[in-house]
Amino acid sequence: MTHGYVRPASLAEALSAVAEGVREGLKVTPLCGGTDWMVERHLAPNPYKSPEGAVDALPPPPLPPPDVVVDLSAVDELRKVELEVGEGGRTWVRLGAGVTYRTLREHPYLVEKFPILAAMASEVGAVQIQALGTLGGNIATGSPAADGVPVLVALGARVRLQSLEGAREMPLEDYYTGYRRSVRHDDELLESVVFPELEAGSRWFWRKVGTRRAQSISKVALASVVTLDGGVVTAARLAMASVAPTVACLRGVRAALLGQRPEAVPEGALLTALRGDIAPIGDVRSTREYRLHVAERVLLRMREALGD
Amino acid sequence: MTTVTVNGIPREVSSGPLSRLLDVLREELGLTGTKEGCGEGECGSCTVLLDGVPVNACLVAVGQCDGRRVTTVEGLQEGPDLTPLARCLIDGGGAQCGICTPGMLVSASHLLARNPSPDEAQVREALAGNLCRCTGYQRIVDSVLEASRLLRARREGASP
Ligand SMILES: Cc1cc2nc3c(=O)[nH]c(=O)nc-3n(C[C@H](O)[C@H](O)[C@H](O)COP(=O)(O)OP(=O)(O)OC[C@H]3O[C@@H](n4cnc5c(N)ncnc54)[C@H](O)[C@@H]3O)c2cc1C
Ligand code: FES
Ligand code: FES
Repeated sequence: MTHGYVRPASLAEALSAVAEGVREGLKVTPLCGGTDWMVERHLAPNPYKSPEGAVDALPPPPLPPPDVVVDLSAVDELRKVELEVGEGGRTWVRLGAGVTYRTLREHPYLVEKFPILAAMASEVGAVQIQALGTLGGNIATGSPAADGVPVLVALGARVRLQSLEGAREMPLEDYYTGYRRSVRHDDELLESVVFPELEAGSRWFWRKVGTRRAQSISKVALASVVTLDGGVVTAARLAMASVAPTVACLRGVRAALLGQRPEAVPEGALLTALRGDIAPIGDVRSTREYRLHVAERVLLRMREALGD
Repeated sequence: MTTVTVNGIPREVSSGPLSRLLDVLREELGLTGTKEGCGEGECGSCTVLLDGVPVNACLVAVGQCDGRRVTTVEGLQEGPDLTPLARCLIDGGGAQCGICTPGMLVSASHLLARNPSPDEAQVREALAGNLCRCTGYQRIVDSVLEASRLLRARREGASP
């Protein structure tokens, strides 16, 4: 196997390359838009540059640990936007892991049916990042501050992992096992996500709080899809970024809302539920108290929006 | 070997496929118009068009460009004269130290090609990924709006 870099032209070839690397005991790195990986790699010492800074024209020296990059940028199957018919005749949408934020903002069907995706995508980085960055990369990086992940969780997305052996699918919230840890095996690629069209009576909400409008990491972000029938909540899915080691599914808040009129749920009950659902930390960007405060304000803002 | 069409000319690149497009443009191909500000995708001074779409050249591995088209600030030039957009940036005080200027030109020219009559908010969004420490942005935004008026007038003049 070529050390260093392969650029397969199909998913089957990509899966073979990944499997071969893993079988040979190499550390295999899939590469998609590069907006996370290229930054990480550049901040680390660059083994492909000579000390003088000139670009090395020779093949890169072998790295400890051995490293194979499987570049997915030529795999068209990963950029698909497809409709499927699910249970009860409901339409589900399958998005390849290589679908970019730019596609989420421009695809006519997605823009019409899933404005929450376009709203989220338009706040990721700036247009240059949106053109490269992908949903698969966002999920795989596993940053607690990822913006795509909470929106997909709110939509009820399932994620498909694929290897040469076959595919498996699970709810996105079950994909993570801890801070930047997941159930993905080394020989698996994130292939796609799939989620249903919104039910009649569903409202979506997306609010990202960052330091400025563009190029900022979420201090707190809330995504939700809430279904109302006669003003009463019949279904709700809420997910928050940057308030726990992984995306936080607000199950307590959901329980507090279900069967109720949102405006009738006491503020105290809602906020107590929220505090049980999240575990914000203080770090270089914000204090714990600030994050908690913002999370509370954003949740109350969502409740207000449901009443509109 | 990676083959990239840079500013309309197919180029064979010998740098490793994981080299940053930014380094290949500047160091191997000698196209130093593209600048490095941050190297982390934040500042936009390395903005180029990849298959016609603005991206940060510091985040693109050159192997990913095999068989694709890259346009740099040098490729925006249409003849010996400054483009109307560049002229407007200079005249309007939208270019000061100049580090952000190539990226601004690439992002703004992409916007004007897609949307000949942008409003201020659209200009600001198109340039949100291009940071400038000198101008305070207003002069850049005004220069782009001025260029859009000029280009429209020119087009209308050409086909009355
Ligand atoms: C300036 C800047 C601003 C940003 N702003 C935001 C923001 O506002 N919100 C936000 O959420 N993110 C932001 N990001 C982070 C990043 O852009 C996103 O997380 C993006 O979705 C990553 O996708 P990618 O395709 O570029 O990932 P890559 O860098 O290609 O890959 C990221 C990781 O995922 C793995 N991977 C990629 N694809 C697969 C796959 N199919 N299967 C398995 N593993 C895979 C890679 O091995 C790597 O570890 C920003 C980044 C930059 C540089
Ligand atoms: S140098 Fe590429 S974005 Fe700053
Ligand atoms: S002119 Fe100096 S950074 Fe913009």
